[in-house]
Amino acid sequence: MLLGTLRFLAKGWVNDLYIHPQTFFGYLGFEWVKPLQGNWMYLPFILVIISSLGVILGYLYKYSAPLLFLSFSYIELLDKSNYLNHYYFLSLMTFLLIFAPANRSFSLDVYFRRVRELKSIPQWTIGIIKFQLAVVYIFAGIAKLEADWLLNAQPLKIWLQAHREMPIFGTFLKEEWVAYLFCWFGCIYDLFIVFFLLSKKTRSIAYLFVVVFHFVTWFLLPIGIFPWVMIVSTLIFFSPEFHENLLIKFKWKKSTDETIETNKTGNKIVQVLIISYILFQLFIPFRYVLYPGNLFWNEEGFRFSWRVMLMHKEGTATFYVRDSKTKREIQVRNNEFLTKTQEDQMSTQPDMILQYAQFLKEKFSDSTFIINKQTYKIQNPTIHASIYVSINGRISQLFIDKKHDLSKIPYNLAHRNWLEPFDSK
Amino acid sequence: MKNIKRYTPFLFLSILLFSFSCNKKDKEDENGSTFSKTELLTNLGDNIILPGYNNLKLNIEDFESKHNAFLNAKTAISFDSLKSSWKRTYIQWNKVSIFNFGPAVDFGLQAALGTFPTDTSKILSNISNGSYTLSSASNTETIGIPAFDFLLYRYNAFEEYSNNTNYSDYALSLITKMKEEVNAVYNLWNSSYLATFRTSTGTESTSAFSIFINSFVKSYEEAKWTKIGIPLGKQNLGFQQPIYIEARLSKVGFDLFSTNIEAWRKVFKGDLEDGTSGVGLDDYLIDLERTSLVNSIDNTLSDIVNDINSFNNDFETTLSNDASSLDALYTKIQNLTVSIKTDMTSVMGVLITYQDNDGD
Repeated sequence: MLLGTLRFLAKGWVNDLYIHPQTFFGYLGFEWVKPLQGNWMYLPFILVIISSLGVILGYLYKYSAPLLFLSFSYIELLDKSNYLNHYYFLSLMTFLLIFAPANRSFSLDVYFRRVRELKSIPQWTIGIIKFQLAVVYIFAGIAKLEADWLLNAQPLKIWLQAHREMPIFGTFLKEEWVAYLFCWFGCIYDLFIVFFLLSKKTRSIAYLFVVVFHFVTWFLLPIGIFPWVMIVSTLIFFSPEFHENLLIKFKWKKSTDETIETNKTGNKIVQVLIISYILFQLFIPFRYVLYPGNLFWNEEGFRFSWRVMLMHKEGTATFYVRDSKTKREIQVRNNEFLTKTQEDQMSTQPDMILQYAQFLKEKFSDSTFIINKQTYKIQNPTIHASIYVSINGRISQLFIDKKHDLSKIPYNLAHRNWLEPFDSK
Repeated sequence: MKNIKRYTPFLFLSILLFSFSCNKKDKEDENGSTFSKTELLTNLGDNIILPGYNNLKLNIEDFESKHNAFLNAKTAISFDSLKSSWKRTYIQWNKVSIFNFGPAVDFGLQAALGTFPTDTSKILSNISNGSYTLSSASNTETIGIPAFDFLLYRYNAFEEYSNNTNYSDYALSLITKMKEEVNAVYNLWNSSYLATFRTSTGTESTSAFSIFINSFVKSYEEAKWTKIGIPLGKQNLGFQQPIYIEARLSKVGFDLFSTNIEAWRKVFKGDLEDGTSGVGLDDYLIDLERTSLVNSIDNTLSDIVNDINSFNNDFETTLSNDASSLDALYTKIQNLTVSIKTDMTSVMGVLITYQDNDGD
């Protein structure tokens, strides 16, 4: 987290993503989350850094853990153009950490005697994190059980061939069979790795696979810090003794004869909360079955469902603002209003297309044009778009027809029957 | 045991590698996938971009000498040869303006050489003041090649250029500025960037290949907007905007337009100036089994160039007499955007932005 945020700051992304843009694509139900003015936007990032230090060192944990969750999630909620599964994962993990007694041993809180050191902690606090990791892997595995991934090796085929010039590996990576190998291996890995991590006998070998797998993904794919997060997170599957020994080995802790154990206590309310969290996590990735049509095309229930590296979607979106009185049109240059990332994401995602249409409507309503010394005022414009989208290397198809007034289409969770149908051949 | 464990990742990797290399031998022969990005970039850099800038450099030097020649002998003939030298320079600029990345961006070449329409009243006030800071942002619309559309073609251009020293001094300082900038870009390409460009083939958005593809696509869209879309009124409720016509006074707008699209097509094909064919994006697409896409892009581009060349009148006359033909041309260019922006790039796996991406 700390490294991720520092990397974020170092690359100047705060300015690019949260200060510079003219508009932000909020999440449904969270549109009230707005960025801070100008350089104040650095504040939440600083808070993430401070609170993540607090969490790492276990200092003032009672405050730093919730602060970390809130400041990080605040940043993520601002603009879904920046949505990544691993940011969502980090949000969930920091949420779970609030309830974990992670400051009860080997922490500054214990050192300063702010809290009593605990030799045992409720088992659920570790179990829920293991569960969360299992959800990520297994759902990512289930998501890979589809034709493009298994039968066409897409989109990996596209991504891997792009590395054709890489020394030594390049010649293999452009080969089709390598893409198939990676796809099948990735799918099997995601589906079963958790079970091997859970079993004591296979744990070390499984962890080796975790390291190699994520190292390869880091090497070949632009997925930021996610590989490192997973490599470190999966250590939780190891036994308490393993971690204790590690601390002793690095001379960070004196060897003791005391045994550490987890206990099973937990009251009714906690049980109910845990079960509802679990059910929620199981439902969210599967919510797409409630919608007809192609998931990649319509993106109904696509986010928050651990569909990692599954789709290479690109589009060309041409928007038109039409004056309702004269029917005259303005063709919009998207880069006047959106950042590259925003335009790239918006062009293929139906909900963002609607949000952009609303933005344009507001921008152009009652705007005046002086043409040949005459003033034209645009009144009550309708917003239209002609959008073509390509999925996983297919030739692009019409995604949205110009006939719809996008500003009249409500943004909600209902099925999007205004999208053109997808032909998967 | 402990040692084995420590080395297992490497063992695993080397086994993986070994098995790849065994398999590879049999595969390579039958498949014959030979396209290499390095060859593409080498062809573009060595045979198209660097010679292109070199030609622009020579054009501007020639323009400067024609300027001096005119001041030595102020005749209609020497003024005409100054004008044709300018036109050649403008044409050449439209061949290299599609490479708006790397050194060209470092030195802001696009803004310095190619900004139009020019602010003619500002040019006149600069001239009458006799002092100006041409590099200031407020002067972007008074400099570069387009400024000479006004300086050489306004109604009393010959008299002003001949008799008003402020006027010819201003012209010379524009030429000097352009010469410096083009030299700087050429030198940077020639000294170090070319080597970087040839080998920077990675998938990250900062690699030369990604930067080239993104700016290449963008330059097509820029041509669509600035050379036809805006004058047609596509951003202005369909009301024509003749003041935005490129080279409005010299009336060479169609030549520049067709040159620009033809240059774009040549880069796509990897073809050299003299028509020799080389490794281009088309070869990459064919390697990726997109032959029909290559044909449709190539044919449509040729079609567009033919359409532009087939107009009998200059742009402004066509705009007022035959706007529907221009509109049809615009639609053709617009429709091709999808093939170029989405179909071409989507199979190449090029990143548009520097952001992390987990595939959605």
